[in-house]
Amino acid sequence: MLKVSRKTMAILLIILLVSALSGCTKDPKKQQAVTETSPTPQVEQKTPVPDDLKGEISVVTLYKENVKNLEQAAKDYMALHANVTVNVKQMPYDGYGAWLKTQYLTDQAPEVVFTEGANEFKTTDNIISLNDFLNEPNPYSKSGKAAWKDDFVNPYIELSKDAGGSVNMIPWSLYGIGMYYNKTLFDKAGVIELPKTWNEFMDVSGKLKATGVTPWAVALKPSDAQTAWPLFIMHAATTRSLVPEVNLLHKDNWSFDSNNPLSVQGETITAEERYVAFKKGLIDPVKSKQMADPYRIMKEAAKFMNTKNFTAIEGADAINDFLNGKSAMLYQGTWYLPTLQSKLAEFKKSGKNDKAFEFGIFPFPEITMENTDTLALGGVNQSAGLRNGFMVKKMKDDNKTKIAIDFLKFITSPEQADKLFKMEDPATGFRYITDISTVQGVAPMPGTEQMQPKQQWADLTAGGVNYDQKDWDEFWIQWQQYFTDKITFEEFLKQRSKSNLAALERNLKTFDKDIDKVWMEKQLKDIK
Amino acid sequence: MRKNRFQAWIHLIISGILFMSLLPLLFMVIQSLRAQIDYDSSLWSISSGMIGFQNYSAVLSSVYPYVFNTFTYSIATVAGVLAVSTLTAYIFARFSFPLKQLLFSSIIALMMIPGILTFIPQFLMVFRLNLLDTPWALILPGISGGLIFAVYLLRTFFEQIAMEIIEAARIDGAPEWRIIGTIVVPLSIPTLATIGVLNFLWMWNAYIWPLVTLSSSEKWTVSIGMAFLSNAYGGANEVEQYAAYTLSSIPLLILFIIAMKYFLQGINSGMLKG
Amino acid sequence: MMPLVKSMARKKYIYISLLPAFMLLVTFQYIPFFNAFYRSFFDWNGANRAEFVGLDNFIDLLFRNPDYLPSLGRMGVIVLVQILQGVIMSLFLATLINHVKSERTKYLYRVFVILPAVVPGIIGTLLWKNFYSTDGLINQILVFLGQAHYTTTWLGNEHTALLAILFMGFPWINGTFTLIYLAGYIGINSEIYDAANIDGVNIWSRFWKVEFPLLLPQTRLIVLLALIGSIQNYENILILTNGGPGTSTLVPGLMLFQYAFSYSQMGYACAIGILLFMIIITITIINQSWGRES
Repeated sequence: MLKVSRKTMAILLIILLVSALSGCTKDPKKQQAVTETSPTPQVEQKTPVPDDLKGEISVVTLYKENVKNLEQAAKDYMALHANVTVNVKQMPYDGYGAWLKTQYLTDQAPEVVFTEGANEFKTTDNIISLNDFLNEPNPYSKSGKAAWKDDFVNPYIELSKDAGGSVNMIPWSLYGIGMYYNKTLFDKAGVIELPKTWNEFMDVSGKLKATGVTPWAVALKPSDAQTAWPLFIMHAATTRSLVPEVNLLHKDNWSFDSNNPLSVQGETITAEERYVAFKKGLIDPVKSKQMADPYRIMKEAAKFMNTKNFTAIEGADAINDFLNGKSAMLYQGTWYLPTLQSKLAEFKKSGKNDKAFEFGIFPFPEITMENTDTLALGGVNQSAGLRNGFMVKKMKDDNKTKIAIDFLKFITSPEQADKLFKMEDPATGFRYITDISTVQGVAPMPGTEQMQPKQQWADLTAGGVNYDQKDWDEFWIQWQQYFTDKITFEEFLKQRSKSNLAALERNLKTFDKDIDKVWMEKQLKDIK
Repeated sequence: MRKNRFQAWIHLIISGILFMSLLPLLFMVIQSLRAQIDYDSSLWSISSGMIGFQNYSAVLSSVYPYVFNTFTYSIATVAGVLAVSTLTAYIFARFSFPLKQLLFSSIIALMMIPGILTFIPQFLMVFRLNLLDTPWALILPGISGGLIFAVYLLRTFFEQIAMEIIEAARIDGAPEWRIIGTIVVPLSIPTLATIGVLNFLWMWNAYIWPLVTLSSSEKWTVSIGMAFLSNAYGGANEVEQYAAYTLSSIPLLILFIIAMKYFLQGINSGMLKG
Repeated sequence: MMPLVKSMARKKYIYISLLPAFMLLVTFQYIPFFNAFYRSFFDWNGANRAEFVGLDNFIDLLFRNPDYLPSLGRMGVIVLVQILQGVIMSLFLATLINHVKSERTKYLYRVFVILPAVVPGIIGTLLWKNFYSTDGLINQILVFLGQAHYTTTWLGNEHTALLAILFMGFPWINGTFTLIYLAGYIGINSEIYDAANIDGVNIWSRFWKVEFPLLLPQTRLIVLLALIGSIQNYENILILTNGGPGTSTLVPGLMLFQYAFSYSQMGYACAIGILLFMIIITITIINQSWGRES
């Protein structure tokens, strides 16, 4: 009932923390770690596996599906290190925010926590920055790469940075999202070709609606990100041309190549850069077409949604509508695939053949120059983002930190990750982990090909939907009112602008010690 | 004849009201007997897909191991609340002393504090007292929270007990503790039972507080055990959750029926003496 | 000053007897409360960052936050309605049960009154959420009654969401309140009943002239309990609407929760809580004096 909703909410939290706070300071010392992110040349010499480790750590996961994998990893690791004990423990997901907060407050938290959002705990100084460790070699990796970070898929290390430039969790899995569709309903509506562009998508939706079915059921609530995920990728595309004007505190010799995703490596939009850009009007929804257009485009789809109840239902209800053939499309992630497959199989098994429809998946339709003239520098990258990872507690005991880091190196080595990601639940025959690995070379789960992240253009989201949690909550209030025509588009943009600005001001406060105030004052003076 | 018709109307209205307020209970039990796949299709087509107690056997292990713990914590809290609040309320009801009104008002004022407000400070207090991961982390704050309401309720009740009975006992030379034990408590059984039941219920259903204060899994409560049934990444089995809810309410049900018996006894004795 | 101390010393056993209660209250209630009070003057993230800001949190809340005052008004409506629901329905049911002749049936009814309390609150909330859905029970009843034009998605409509929250849980029987009233009825001397019966007073006037005045202490208690309960309760709203659509069902309790646990603005959350506390205290004092006068 509430589970899916919490999940999506948490995913979004990450996306927003990751994509919105992904700024970092241009403090030269801090910047150094970042500049070195470009792939390090391969080296021959291998660092030996440390064999002097001795001690005990605890790893806590809040997710059922990771318990078996982590237990296996702990077993394998302890087989290599006779004097180390790794305890794996699961805590309930309900109330985990309060749980973690209190455990950190009293220094009782486990050494390693598997989490969806680490940055909050960095601002409260409970966890350590992992930048330096990621530049070390990984003795467990046989890939021959010089640094631990090189084994990860680009650019997800960058994406996990906070506005202080610090990587706070070792990334573990990515989410990929695609449009699930009901083939039976598509056939009935006479849809022959799957929509590739936004305009084709509108046509197809019109045909579906004519047959009396809801083309796309959504919940306009934080429990359902279906209408927000498209905004993320659209904003990344529409504001791409603004990146050079917004990312002013870049490293030396940096230049932006929109066709090369690697060209934003090591770069982040910081709190003060964003604030200045907003003040200049570059990313102010009221003044910036780049910011406004995605909202306008998404609203075009409103008439194909479940307008009767999309402000009342939850994400789980929208999913159920798709499962029961009430709606033709559902924008969901890789995690939904096993659920859908097994439920459809169960329909068949219990003799409800009329309910057991065939489904397919297509990438989210891309917006083009026909929809917005802001796409000068390339189109939309398919939605994908960091989902979860491991954070390490700040400890007085260096030895425990060492073990924790060593264990994380072990499980994120390509060989181990491959083994863990492929583990299947014997009861269902599906993988325990339905997400995409952040470690390079791990084969995706069969059937998720259409949902794999595709980085065709460089994304450094200059401006996004929201910049912190409060901004996010306010977005949903405004989004509901805009979609139900309680407020006009202009009023919506005005409210969004106000919420964005308030969030940016809060961020300046949160990252106070990382901010280049002299630069910011000068920039702000220039505007006037 | 007229009396009988009047009685029939009363029964009809009471039954109607009670039926409607029992709907959630019925809903919970019915859903717990269904198959997940039918639950997914429709909440209400309950004609098909009843799979009996299959869901119950699946969730037994997430409820059963914690029943004893939860029961112990709840009973200890209820006992503490009743003991402390009876004493305190009796003093406020039957004695006059300097600062009485101020002290009483300061207890009642605590009722108005929103719970979330004191969540973190209360947790830190338990931590500083070194009570984390002990049953006391639940019991002591539980007593302190429960006794506020209990003192208020009992004081009102004690003040209604005829003073002559107490004075008579005092003249006979009975010490105060004896008066409380032999006169006040027996007369207040209905009220005490209400307070006991309420506090038990609060303790039984508490989730976040036990979650943050108890770290060893062997000390966990039923609500924590049940939380493992819900799943962060979806695919949770809702009908099993309903089964777990039903299972965890069975001890409460038994307790209520027992308490109700005392409640009735109290009523009778109250009538005799009144 | 001296006589006070003297008289206190004379009654030292009284104070000693109060010690257990006050030791518990000071430790787990007063100190945490004053801690939160103190923090309401800070810009505090709940952990390592705290900056003294004086009355800023309160000023922002009262004068700059566009959501706070409307949410207070909404809370006022909810509180008023829920107090009425609590008092009227519980008193009604208790009175009916009190008039039941058969002792065994009476007993059975009492059990059924408290029985719903074993069901976790979330179940009832989810059930009602379903009742309010587009093709839920409420709309089906309306269609059945030929009032199809009144159907709406109750929780998704800004104009009906608050109403739906207020109507939820019909017939609003609170087991505890009903039991409190039943206990009150027991306290009413059976001799009074006999006297009233002999005088030939009908049930209605007996209720208003004899029973209701005697149940005033219970009513006062229930008003207080309903007041506290409805002001603090935000969980229903969190699950049903999360304050929406728009801000049409946002209440201070929910705001307090959001600021404390979602936004890490603990100082601000404390200010919301302290203001709420002061409002409840004020209303309670008024309620108490009303109860005394009548």
